[in-house]
Amino acid sequence: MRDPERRWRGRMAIIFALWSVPLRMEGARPAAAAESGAATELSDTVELVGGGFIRGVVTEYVPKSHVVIRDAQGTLRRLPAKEIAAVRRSDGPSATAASPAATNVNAETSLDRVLMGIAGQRIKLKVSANKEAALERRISVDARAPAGSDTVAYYLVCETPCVAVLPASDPELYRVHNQSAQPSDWFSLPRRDTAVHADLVHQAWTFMPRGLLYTGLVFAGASGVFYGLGEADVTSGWSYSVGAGSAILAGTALVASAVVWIARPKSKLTFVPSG
Amino acid sequence: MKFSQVLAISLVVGAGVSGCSPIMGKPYGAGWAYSDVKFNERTEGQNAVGMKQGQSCASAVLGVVATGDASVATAAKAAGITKVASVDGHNTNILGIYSTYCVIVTGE
Repeated sequence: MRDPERRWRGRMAIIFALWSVPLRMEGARPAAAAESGAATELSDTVELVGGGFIRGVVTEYVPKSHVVIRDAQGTLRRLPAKEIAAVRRSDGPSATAASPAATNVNAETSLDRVLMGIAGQRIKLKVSANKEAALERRISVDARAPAGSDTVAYYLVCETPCVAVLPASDPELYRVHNQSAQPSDWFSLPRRDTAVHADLVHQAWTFMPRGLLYTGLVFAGASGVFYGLGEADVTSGWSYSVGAGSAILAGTALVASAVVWIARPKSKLTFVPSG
Repeated sequence: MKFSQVLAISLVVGAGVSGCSPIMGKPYGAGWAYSDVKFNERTEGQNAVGMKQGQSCASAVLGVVATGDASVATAAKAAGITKVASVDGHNTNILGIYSTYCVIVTGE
């Protein structure tokens, strides 16, 4: 006759064996497990730089390094950051804007958090420029800076050339800018995928008319002073010559200022819908 | 040389060279005829993409009259930056007569 202790151990062994069979089957069929959960969990999307996307469950996310996603077949795919345009996670309604040349997967910035808070359709904005520049998203400064002040604030979205995935309903304005170039006008995001090319002109075209204007005013003032000295008989007549020379320079500078102001080129944007 | 001649020469030379001391007061970027120079003041080594930038500028005429607010605090406040990552400067100057200085603050 078997003692109760041995009988109890035998029953436990049978129970454990029966219980472990489905566990082993589960481990042998990851794809089936993924498929069973696919309908409810495949809500993360990794958008690729080339325009494609992979839907699945993001299991690993390392900013600026890589993303691991389990696709519909249950396959784990490791994607380097340079191949990723954006990551949409099921716990957030939005995308991560990125640059293929810079921080492709970086949800740590305040820009990412702002963009994630804007619901709705995403568009791809492919940005290029004739010189090194950046896509900027304006931060309204009206409440913080006095009107007319020479202050501007913005987020650096990406450095050209780049592809940014952005919410189409973003109410804020964007521009393309380079510190040494005249910035483009602020623009609203288009409602569909678009390629934007910026032809930026040198900042001197903005700066030069004002410089020439002040130059003209300075020489006009100098001209008046020298004529005044001549009229006051303080000098022996040479001040008239200096005054005349200053007046010619002043007139030239003022006319040049007006001509440059009228004829100056401006930075412009070209929008080409794509996709 | 008469006093009047000295005065006249002083006016001309003064008008020309006084703008050579732009408001930034830096030894670099002070080209007399024209300068357009960016330079770095401070960096904490962070990537700027995705971060906020605030820019505020001041301008000067003849190096005599200068107006504006090119302070780091103003630029940071405009962008809502509480943690500064880098501070850059951008100086432009034309003929020593008109110059601007902008401070560009990057951060979160």
